[in-house]
Amino acid sequence: MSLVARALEEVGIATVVIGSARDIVTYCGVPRFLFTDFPLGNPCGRPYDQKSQNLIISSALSLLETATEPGTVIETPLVWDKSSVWKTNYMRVGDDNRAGLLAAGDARRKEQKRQRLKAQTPLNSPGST
Amino acid sequence: MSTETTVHYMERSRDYYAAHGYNTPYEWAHFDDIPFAPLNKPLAKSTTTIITTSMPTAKTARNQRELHLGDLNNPPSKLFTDGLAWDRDATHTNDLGSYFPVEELHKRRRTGEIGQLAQNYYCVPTRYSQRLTTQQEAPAIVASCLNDGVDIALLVPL
Repeated sequence: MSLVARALEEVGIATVVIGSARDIVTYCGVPRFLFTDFPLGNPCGRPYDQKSQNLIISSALSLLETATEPGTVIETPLVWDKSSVWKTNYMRVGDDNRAGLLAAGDARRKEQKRQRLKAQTPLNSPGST
Repeated sequence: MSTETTVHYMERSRDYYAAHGYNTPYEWAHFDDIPFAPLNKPLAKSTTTIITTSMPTAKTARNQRELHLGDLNNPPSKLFTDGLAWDRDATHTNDLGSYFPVEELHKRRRTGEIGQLAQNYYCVPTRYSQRLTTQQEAPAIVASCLNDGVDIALLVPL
């Protein structure tokens, strides 16, 4: 998505990326980034919460008007919850789930191999037209 | 329980996929230079579009993601997020407004805060290949936005 923002800016279209993966977006480098420290999935506000959705779009439009240099990052004051447990849990790897994650990876590779072999099966085998 | 100020997604996903047995870490896009186009007209006279990573159907979201153009002035009541990377344990995507701000933009168009909404919005596939994004989807979106007279793009990756 950051790559698309960069391409649009190169032809003169002003962009703002609105999201929560700050390290990924800023590492790529985009002209304007509005960051909200929410779990991935709701870049435009808390579900069914017009107040936060209004705040985020207002902040994004303001950023478009006020940014004067590339790489401008603004953070909204919104907080998902006080515990921040979600920050620890997302894509967590620990001793209790390591074997399960590896098994899931093995199953996925096996399925991908099966799909590749299926795709390589010749269509002009006997009986086909 | 430790708390973090911000999730470091690059490090987290490297560790997560390594635990799955994928030992070649993904190389995230990185550039030293950043292009910059100042907004050269007032919001009230600007034409705005939305670019999302959600998809128009459940099937395209799950496993057949491709660039999709939709009518921003006749927007969908639902978009699809299955198969995309987001935090299913902490939240949900049942409310379109939480990831596709079409109602917020229509509301502001009606009050005159922003000008026109563009003809099209865009559903962009998230891809492993940066080359495909750069050489296929990005040029197609740029051409369409130029054709539609877009001044502003709000990009809302999940």
